[in-house]
Formats: sequence, C-alpha cells, structure tokens
Amino acid sequence: MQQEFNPGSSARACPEFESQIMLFALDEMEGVERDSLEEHLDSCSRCVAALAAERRMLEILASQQRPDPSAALLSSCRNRFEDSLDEMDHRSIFARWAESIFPAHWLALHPAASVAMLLLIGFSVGTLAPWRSQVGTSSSPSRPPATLGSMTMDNQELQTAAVSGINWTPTNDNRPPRVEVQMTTEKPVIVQGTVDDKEVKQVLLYVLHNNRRFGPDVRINAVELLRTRANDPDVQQALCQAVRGDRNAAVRLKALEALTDTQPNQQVVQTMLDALVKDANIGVRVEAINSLRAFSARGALLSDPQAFTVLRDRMRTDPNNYIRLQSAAAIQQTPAGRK
Amino acid sequence: MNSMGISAALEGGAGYRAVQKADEQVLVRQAQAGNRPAFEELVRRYDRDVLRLALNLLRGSEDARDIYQEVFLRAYRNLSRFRFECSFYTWIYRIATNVCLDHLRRKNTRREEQAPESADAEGAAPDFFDQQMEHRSAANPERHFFGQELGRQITAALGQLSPRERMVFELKHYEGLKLRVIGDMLGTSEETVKNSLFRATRKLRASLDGMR
Repeated sequence: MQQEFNPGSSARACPEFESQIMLFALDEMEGVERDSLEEHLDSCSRCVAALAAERRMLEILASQQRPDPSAALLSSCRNRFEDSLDEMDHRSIFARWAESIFPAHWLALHPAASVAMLLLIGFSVGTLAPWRSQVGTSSSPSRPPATLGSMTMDNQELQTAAVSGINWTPTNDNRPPRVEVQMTTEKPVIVQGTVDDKEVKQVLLYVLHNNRRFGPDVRINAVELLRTRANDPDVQQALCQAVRGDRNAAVRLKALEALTDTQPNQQVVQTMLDALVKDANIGVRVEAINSLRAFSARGALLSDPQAFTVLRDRMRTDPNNYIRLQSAAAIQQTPAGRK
Repeated sequence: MNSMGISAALEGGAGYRAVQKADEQVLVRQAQAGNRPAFEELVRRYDRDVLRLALNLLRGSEDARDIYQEVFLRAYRNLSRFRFECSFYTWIYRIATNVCLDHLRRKNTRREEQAPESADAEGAAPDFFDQQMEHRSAANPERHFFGQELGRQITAALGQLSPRERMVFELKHYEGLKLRVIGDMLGTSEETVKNSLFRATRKLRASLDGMR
C-alpha cells in the first residue's frame, strides 16, 4: 500500500531521456522523438521503471482531482461582479452627463456655484429616490416559473440558460421516469416530460455537449437519464463525447457505464479503448476495461483487430495489475486470443 | 444566431464546435458594441473554470473571489482590444493566469505576515483532500489514511514551487490543458513551458522524497 501511494519513488531514467519520459507519460510527444524513445524503452529497464513511476504519479494526481467551486461561492462572485458592472455603468453615465453640462474647468473656476449645485442635486435625489424606488417595486411583482411541456425553446434561449437542477420521479411500470429540468433563462423555466420527449432530450443532450457550463451534479443526472435511451445515435454520441471530454471523472465513469448497456458499434468500442489507454483517472480506466470485458463476453469484440491489439498492449504494459489481468481475460474470449 | 436551428447547435463534433465558435464571436462582437447581457453570457461560460483555477492556486475563497472580480473587470475594460487572434477562452485564461501569477507572487512575499486561513474555509487544503479521499476510499481505512497524508504532502510540495512552475503544473495536471495551449496562455513558447513543467515535477518528486 505504501508503495502504491509513493509518487516520489526515485526510479531514475537515463539522463538524456528524463524529460522525454515525462512528456511521453503525458502523451505530449509525437513523431521521431516518440519513435526513438519507444525504441530506447525496448532495451532499457531503467527508463521503463522511470516511466512506470511517472505514470504512477500521474494516477495519484488524477485521483486527487479538484472539485468545482461550490454553487454558493460562484453565485456570490457573480453577484458581486454584476454589482461592480452596475456601478461602473452608472458612474460612466453620470460622468458623461455631468461633463456635458458642467465641464470640469467651469466647476474649478466657480467654487461657490459648484457647492450650491451639488446641494441642489443632493436634495433632489434624496426627495425623489424613495418615491421612484416605490414605483419600481410595485411594478415588478415576482413571476412564477413558466412550464414547458410541448413548447420548444429556441437556440438563443438555450445558449443563455443555466440549469439549476434536474429532478425525476421513477414510475412503477416500465415507462421512463418523469423528468423536471429547472432552468434559468431571462425568467425561470421548467422543462417537464420524459426522456422520450424531444424537448427534454434536447436539453439533456445540450447539458452534455456544453459540459463547461454546467455543474458535475447536473451532468451526472443528465447521463443517468439518457442511459435509458443509450441506443439512440444522438445519445450515444453525447455519451461518447462525455467519456472523451468531460473534465469530471465521475461523469466520464457514469457515461461509460451507460455505454455498456448499448448495442456495441465501432464508435462505442473505440471510445472505450481510448478511455482505457488515455484517461488519466484509474477509476475510469478500470470501468473501461470492465465495459470491454462485458462486450467481449457478448461476442462484440470478435472481429475487431484494433481492440485485440490494444488489449494485448494493455495486458503487457499497463501499470495497473487489475487492468492487465482483465485485458488478458478479454483477449481469451476473442478467436485470436484462443489461438 | 436566433435563426440558427437548435438541432445544428446540438450536434456534436467539428460542426458543433464551429457553430459554438461562431456563436461566441457573435457574442463577443455584441459585447464589444456595449451589449451587457452578451458580456455576462460570455462570463458565465468561463467563470466556473476561472474560479476553480483561482481557488486551487490560491487555496482560499477570499483570494479566489478577488481574482474572479479582477479577471472579469479587466476583461470588461479591455474587451475592445480583443482582436479575435485567439479564442475568447484563451484570452480570458491569459488574463486569469496573469492575475493569479500576480497574486501568487504577492502572496509569496507576504507569506510570513499572513495569518493561516481557517481550516473550515472553502478551498482550504485539509477539507479539499479530506473530501476527495472520502469518496474514493471510505471502504478502506488504510488507503484512506495514506490518501489523506499524500494529499497533504502534495499540497505542501506544490507550495515550494515558483509561481510560474505552480501555474504550469496546475494547468497541465489539474486543468488538463496541452502544453502548446498553456504556452499560448502564458505568452511563452511550448519549450519554455516544458522546461517549467519538468523543473516543477523534479522539485515535487524531491520534496516528496524528502517528506518520506
């Protein structure tokens, strides 16, 4: 256990390859340099050990992924920033207005008149502002959120919308759960229905395609709900994109789980293979090999030479023991592996 | 943009990215023309990332709040200078990395004067790693213990890096950016970024070796 958590273990590479090994482990190397390092790795056990240590460190760093800032902190930053913008806008309007009426040099040359004018402005604002604010308050009653059932949202609305939460109620029979997506556009909107409804599906897909705009909890819920439609090509593509590009390991893991239930095709298998090889998070890589094992057991990898090559490579070189074993087991289920 | 069909916007892949890029350009032009909602929409697209970066680098929610404010106010004031030579994302991140580096440098010089932040403050190191390891290793107390200890050691070791090394390390390992992109953001070459990352990694290893 101690060894597993020891990223500083000092396996030293050959000095001339030390920085290259770091880049290789980070997948930041290509072309001739990469080829020459791979050739060197074939014959140098020191550098192989250094590469394994580098990968171990990356796994550990990945296992300590940073959480997104809390909604409360984000919201307080946004509010404070919007207040500053209001202040800036207000100040610039007032400055322009004042400058157009009383240029700065006029105020400097007429101090008594300036004081009198400021008093007059202060008195006027003090008298009129409370009345104005009352009028403003009474004319803007709070509006309840609009509910969208069969209506469609246009693109502009979706682009500017924030999803504040996704709730769903499971049904007793086999029908899909009832979904409620709470959105904030210019006014609060709730999209209701099941994932079979076009509107609900579009919003959920939008959340996955625009993962940078939504919190991980919202994205995980979107994956969970879309799972029931994982054989739909649009959904499958969004799930593959989530596996490849979502910055949160839990979302990637959940999307992999969802893809395991699908009818295997080349896109899905390739996504799993890429996750197995490239994902920085060990949990995601383990889920990827489990999914590939499941596919293999269903005979889905029988005629895929690319899968065979990747699994053989993992079986031989993966730093994780479990992945090596599972890769070997998956290979055993292919015709090439049985030979 | 209003006339663009929703299905086009929801497509994945290169086509989708092109739509998104075009949409962003429209928003930037609207914001440059003084349309505040357009600017606020741009802020909402990237503010979570900026805040996360600030929180992880500065390790205190008060500092992170100040950075958020400074980054987006700078962006607002200098929006007219944005010439579409890079993506808006890169431009905002360039401002964010500059502001964070300034804060890190100032923080390094006044470290002795500053009282330590409460362990309960958001983004403070113990909470952060506790929370992370809690999820992963609740079923295994031994693993949990080593995970916590390691988290503390890594945090301490990262504190030994120079502001620039710390920034490169954070952008690479925790934000997952390519070295070329990091170079663009920091206004330096990919080679310089590689060197900084290599130095940072060596220092980190050395610190962790020393702590064992």
